[in-house]
Amino acid sequence: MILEARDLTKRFPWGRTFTGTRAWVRAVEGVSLGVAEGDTLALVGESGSGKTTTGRILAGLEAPTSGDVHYRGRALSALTGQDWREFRRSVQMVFQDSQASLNPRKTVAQILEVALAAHGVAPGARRDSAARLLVEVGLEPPAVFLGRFPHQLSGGQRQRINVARALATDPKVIIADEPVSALDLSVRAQILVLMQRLQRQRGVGYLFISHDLAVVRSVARRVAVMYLGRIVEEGPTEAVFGRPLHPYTEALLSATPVPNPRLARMRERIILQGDVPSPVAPPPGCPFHPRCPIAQEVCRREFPPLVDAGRGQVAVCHFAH
Amino acid sequence: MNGTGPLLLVEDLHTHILTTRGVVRAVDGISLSLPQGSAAGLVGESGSGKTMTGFSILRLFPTDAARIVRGRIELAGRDLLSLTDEEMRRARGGDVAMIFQDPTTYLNPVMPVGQQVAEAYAMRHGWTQARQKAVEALGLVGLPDPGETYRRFPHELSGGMRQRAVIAMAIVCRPALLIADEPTTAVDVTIQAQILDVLQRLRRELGMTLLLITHDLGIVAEVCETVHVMYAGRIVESAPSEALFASPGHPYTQGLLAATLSIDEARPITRVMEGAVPDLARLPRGCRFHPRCPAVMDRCRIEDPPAFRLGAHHLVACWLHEEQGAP
Repeated sequence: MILEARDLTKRFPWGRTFTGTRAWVRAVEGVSLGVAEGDTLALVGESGSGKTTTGRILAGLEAPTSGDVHYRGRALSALTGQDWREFRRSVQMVFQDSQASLNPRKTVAQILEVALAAHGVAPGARRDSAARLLVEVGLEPPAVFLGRFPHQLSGGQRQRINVARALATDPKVIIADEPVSALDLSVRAQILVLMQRLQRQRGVGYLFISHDLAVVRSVARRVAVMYLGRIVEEGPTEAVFGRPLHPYTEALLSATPVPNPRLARMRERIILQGDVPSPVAPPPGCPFHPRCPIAQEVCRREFPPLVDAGRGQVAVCHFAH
Repeated sequence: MNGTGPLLLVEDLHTHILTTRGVVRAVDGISLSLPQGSAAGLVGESGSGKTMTGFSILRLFPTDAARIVRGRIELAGRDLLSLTDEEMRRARGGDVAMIFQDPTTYLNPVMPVGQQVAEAYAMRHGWTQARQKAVEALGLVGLPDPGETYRRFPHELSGGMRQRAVIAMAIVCRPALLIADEPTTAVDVTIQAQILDVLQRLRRELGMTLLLITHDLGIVAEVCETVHVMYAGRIVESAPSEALFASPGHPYTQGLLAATLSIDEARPITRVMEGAVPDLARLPRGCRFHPRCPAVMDRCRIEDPPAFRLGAHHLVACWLHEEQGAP
C-alpha cells in the first residue's frame, strides 16, 4: 500500500459556547484503508457518511483527531520539509465542482504552470509541459486551450483541466471526490475513460469517492462502504456487489435503479425507513440499527464485530452472512 | 372531459427564449401523448429542453424572455394555450402541477410546511377544509405523524422530507397530471427510493398521470412505461420502455445507453460519444445530432429527419430508419 489510513478519527466541534464545546460531530470513526499503486479503491456512501473528510485527511488537507496516514510506510505526522513536499506532490485531489476548483482569473496555462512550478519544472520548460499535459487529457490542439479562462470551457473540459493539474506533479495517488457527479452522461463516460487510460499509462492509484454505485462497479477493483463515519463493509468489487454482507450495502444496492425495465420489475426493493441519524449523537450499539431491516436486540446494545467472509471481504455486523 | 383521448396531448410545440445571442430554440417542435394514469419519462442531458417542455405545459417560465411560439397543448381535451392567464392560474395545481429538483427553493422558510400545503388547497377551494386536506396530503406522501409535521418549519425537516412536503403541496388538489422535474437528483439513493415509491403510490391510489423529467435512465426503467428521449430541443426517439432499452433505434439513444452504467454488471465503458450538446442558438444544419453521430451520412448534414415508425408506439427521428417505416 502506497497510501494508508490507520484507525483515523476526525471530530469537528459543534455548538461551541463560552465555557467550551458542548458536542462533537463524529465525522470519521476508526477508518482504516489503503490505496495501492495502479489500483482503484472506491469509497462509497451517502451524504454525511464521512467519505469526503476521509479523502481530505488522506490528501493531507485535514489533520486527523487521532490515527495517522502513512505514505510509503511513513506517518504523515512525522514528515517535515522536503519529505512533506514530496508527499503533497505525490498525492493529488480532483473535486466534483470543476468550476469552483479553478481560479476564474487565471488562464489554463497559468493554472497548470503553478502546479508545474511546484513540481520543480524550470520556468522555460513550463509552457511545453503544460501543452503536453493538455494533450494527455485529450484537449487538442493545446494551443487553443492554453489561453482560455475556466468560464470559456465546458464542464467536461474543465474537469479535464483539473485532471491535468493533478497530473502536473506526477502523482502516485489521485484522490478523486465525486469527479463525474456533476457531469452529463456522455461527458461522464469521457472522463471515466480518460481516468482509466491514465491509470494504465502512469500506474497511478485512485481513491475514488462516489455515491454512485453504478460508476463504482465499473471503475473500482475494491470497494469500501461508509455509514455514519465508519466503514461497514469492504472487499473486492465483484464480491461486495455480488454477495453483500452488510444489510446497509444490500439496501444501497437495492435502492439503486437498474437501467433495465424487465429486471427492475422483478427486483425486490428494500426501502430503508427514515434518514441517516445525526453524527453528533450516533445511535448506541450498531450505528445502523435504527434503519436496519434485520436489527435484533443485540444490535441496539453492542457494537458489532468485524466479520471476515474470506475472499478479502469484511463487514461490521452482528448478522453478516 | 374527453373520455377516450389521451390525458395530455402536445403537438408541434415550439418554445423560444430571446437572448442577446439570438433566439434559443429550447423546445423545437415536440409532440407527446400521455394516456390517463400512465407514467412517461422525458430523458435528456442538460440543454436538451426537457425542463422547458415542463414549463411550457404549465405556461410558467422562469424568464419573461421565454414564450411558446407555436403548437398545441391539450389537457383532458382542454386547449391550455387558449386559456386566459387567470384560467391557466386556476388550472395550475388543480389540473396540472410540477415539482422540482431543489425542494428548499419552493418552500417558504418562515411558514410551517403544513400551512403551505393548506394554502395551496385554499387558493382553489377556500380554507374550510384546507387544514384537513393538507394533513391528508402529508400522510399520502409518507411523512410520519402528519398532524405533527404540519406544524414544522422547512429547516426542521431533512432533504427527503422537504421534497415530500413539496410533493404534498403539488398533489393536495389532486391534479390529473404531475410533472416531476429531476425530483430525486438532490437526495441520496436510499431517500430516492422512498420518493420514487411515493410517486408510484400516488399513481396507484389517485390514478395520477406522471411526466417524469430526468437524466437518469435507471429511474426511467423503474418508473416509466414509455420514454421520450430529447436532444437539442427535439424528441429523437419515443418508445415503450422495454423496446427502448432492448432495441434503441436512434444513435443518440444508443450512445446514452452505452454510457449508462449499472450495478448489475461490471461493464467497461467501450463506446464514448464525443463532443457535447450543441448551442441551441446555433444549431447545426440537417439533423442536429449529426456532428456527434457515429453513423452520419451525407443526407444527415443537409436534411432534418422526420420521425419514422419502428413499431406501433416506437418512433425514431433518424434517416437510418427511412426504409423500415413511413414517417
